[in-house]
Amino acid sequence: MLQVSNIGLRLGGQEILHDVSLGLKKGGTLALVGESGCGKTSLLRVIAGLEHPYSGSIVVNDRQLNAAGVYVEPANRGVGLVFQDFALFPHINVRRNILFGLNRLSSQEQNDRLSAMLSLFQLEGLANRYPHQLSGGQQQRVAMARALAPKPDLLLLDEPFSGYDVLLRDSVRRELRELLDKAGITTVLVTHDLQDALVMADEVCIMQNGRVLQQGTVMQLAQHPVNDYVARFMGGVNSLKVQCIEGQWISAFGPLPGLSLKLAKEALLVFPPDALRLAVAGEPDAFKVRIGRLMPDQHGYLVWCMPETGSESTISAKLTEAPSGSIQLSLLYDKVHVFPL
Amino acid sequence: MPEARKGNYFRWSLLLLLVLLLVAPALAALSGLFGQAGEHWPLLRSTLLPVYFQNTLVIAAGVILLSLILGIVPAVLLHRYSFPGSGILPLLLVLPLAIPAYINGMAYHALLDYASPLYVFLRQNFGFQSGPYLLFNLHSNLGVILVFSLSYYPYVFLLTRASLEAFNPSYDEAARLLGAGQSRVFLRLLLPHLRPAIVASLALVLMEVLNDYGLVRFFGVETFTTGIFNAWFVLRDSTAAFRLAGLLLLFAFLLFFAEKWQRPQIATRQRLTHRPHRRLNISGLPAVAILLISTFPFVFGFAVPALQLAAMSVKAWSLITRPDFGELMTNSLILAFGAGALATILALLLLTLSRKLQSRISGFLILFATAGYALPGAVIAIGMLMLVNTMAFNPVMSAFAGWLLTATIAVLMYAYVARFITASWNSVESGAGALGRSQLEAARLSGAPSWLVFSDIVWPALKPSVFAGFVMVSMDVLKELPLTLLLRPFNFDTLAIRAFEYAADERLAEASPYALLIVVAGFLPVWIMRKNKMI
Repeated sequence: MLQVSNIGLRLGGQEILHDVSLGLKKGGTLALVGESGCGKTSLLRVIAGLEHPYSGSIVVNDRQLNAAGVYVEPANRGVGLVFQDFALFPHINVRRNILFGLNRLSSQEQNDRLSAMLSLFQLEGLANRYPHQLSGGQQQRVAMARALAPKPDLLLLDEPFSGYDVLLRDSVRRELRELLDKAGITTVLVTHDLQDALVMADEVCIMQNGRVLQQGTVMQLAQHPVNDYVARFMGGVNSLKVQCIEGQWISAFGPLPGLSLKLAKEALLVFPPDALRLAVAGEPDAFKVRIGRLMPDQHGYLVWCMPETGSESTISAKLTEAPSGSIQLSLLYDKVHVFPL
Repeated sequence: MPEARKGNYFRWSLLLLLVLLLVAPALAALSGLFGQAGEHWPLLRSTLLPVYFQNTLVIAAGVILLSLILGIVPAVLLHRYSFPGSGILPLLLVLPLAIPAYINGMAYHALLDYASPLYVFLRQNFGFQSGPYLLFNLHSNLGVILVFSLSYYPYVFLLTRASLEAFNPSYDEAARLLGAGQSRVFLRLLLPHLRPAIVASLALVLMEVLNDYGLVRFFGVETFTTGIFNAWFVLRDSTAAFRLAGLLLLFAFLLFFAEKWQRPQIATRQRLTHRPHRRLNISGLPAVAILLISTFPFVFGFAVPALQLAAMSVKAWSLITRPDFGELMTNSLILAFGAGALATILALLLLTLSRKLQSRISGFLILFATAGYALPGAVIAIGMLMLVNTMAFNPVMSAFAGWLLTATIAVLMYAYVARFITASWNSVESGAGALGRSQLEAARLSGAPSWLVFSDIVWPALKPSVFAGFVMVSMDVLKELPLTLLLRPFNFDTLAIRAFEYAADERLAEASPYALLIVVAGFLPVWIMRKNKMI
């Protein structure tokens, strides 16, 4: 339904996107995830036709929007975009904002479409209000209604949750997910927060420095990350360098006899905090750590651990009880991703 | 009475006194509407008043139209496109503000007159004939409209450009994604967004137009301002002058409220933050075409008249070695710097009172007290004359009033401050606004004495804006004409008056060195605007 192939974009002499390709089936939701400045918003703007790529093609519903010698104007793309700042026209009310893209329809059709949008986004009582008279959530719903009113083939959402605090963010996410399900529209959203992607998207596409690193379902990315960046992005916050010395793998915390690799002499282990468990002294794979800092959370403690000597390497472990002094930990290797160096 | 209340009582009294002093000339002029009609009033009302009305309205309408085109077109082009020269153009396009309209008119008269070298050349070599002036009769409503528009379009340009910068580019993109074309985006989004800036800037342009006396007198077009002078100097009918001034004041009030009504909307829109605009890079023929269109207002609003003045000044430069030149310069500078200093001190006093009182009423009073820029100089002058007139009928003060008016510049200074305090007030107020509240609170909490807080924190922050306000008032006074003409003591001339008198006598070459000095001085406020990133 959406097929982006080999897109390259240069802005102000800088290479913003390099050979970007991704795809999305009809009715699906794809989250473009990455750190600030990785090019995800630029890619969204390329799909919307607001930026001109120097290479590649974009196809939506079998219709070529960008290719060599082909460029469809934003107005004719059938793409709706909800901007990060919503971009509601400040001098006209909610009704006229939603009607803005419907001027080619008859007045009867306009009214029907308006009523449907007001009802879908629960904006019935707000039609005559101006944007500045609305809360952030209401503004977002109006922006969604305005983008969806012309019935676009594809909806693009640019950082839809950036303006919300932690408490509100979760409920807004769920509300938006329900609205998108009701509307049944193919959606691409941009976010830098993995949680947004987990709730909202069927597929996640991770970007770094203008390149797509990996696209897939959350499960695929979590289980088979293509590199340590993706693994860390998917929740593996710990990365530990290991070296093979005389047939034994050694980390900053000491030898890891349970680790068996035949790939290289050096590797990077990426694993989540719950890949570490408390070990009993004498266990063959246990290593001793010094407790740095304890942070209570809902189900126990997040513990910063350092090697007994030195502190250049820190890993965090998820433990159910508060430890003190030095403890022994061991790794659950089925939760560890290994990347040869 | 507790100390705090006593202090507030004193501050309120001081504020009321200052406000009363500053608005007294306007109130006096307004009272002219209700005074006894003089002997010439019926004749004036039936014969000249309709002409004043008609000319003033025609000129106002023409100037609105033309300054809109001259201001908005380059603002939009510079907003949309990046091309060779587009970096310096915003500064060049503001330079016409350095040339007072009457001096601009003088330069164009010299350029298009029957005896001008250009017309002579075209006549002799090509047989080109178009009457006493090249192309069209400059001394007409059309000539006045052209010169006013070329002189004052920068107000429209400046406010429109600032407003365009505040236009969120996402609006444009959202509209395009919703199927809107360029014209729909312009009409439905951009124009409503620009409306407050356009209304406010046109109000400023029209205030300048209503204030002008030099250009309309020089071009022989009868307007309200010339009517006031005619009633005063020709008919010797002070009550008729008072009535005309009162009528003109009503127009000025309308403009003042139009401008004040739109200002908050401009400020609100400019506070919105968004990603910066990306201008479209163009080169080749389109870049040349856009460069030519954008440069047009600068060329005819500044370059042509400035070059004309410079060329004429070369011939008459020896005039500045005359003994009376030093006196003219001294008079001008005393008035300019004296009024600048006085207006700045008063503005600082008002700022202190407003910060201490922190009430809506004090804010409202200060708004009125600093509305002088909206009042034409002739109206303030007439108001001052009425005040002195009232004093003259008082047996105790009559001798003092006569001496004040004929032998001193005190009345003139007072009138300058009443008219130009707006510039110094706006400047110190914005300077004080830039000083963060938390900085001030941190300084106070540090336990430092008040004098140290003032000298180390407040003054360094305020100093640039105090200086800017001082220079702006001084330069306004330097080129001011109608107020000075009406209120100067006998045999007291300034550069502006001498330039105007020479020009009125068709001795343009002799007028030009004085005019050029005024233009050069006019660069200072433009430089300050550039420094304060207003351009």
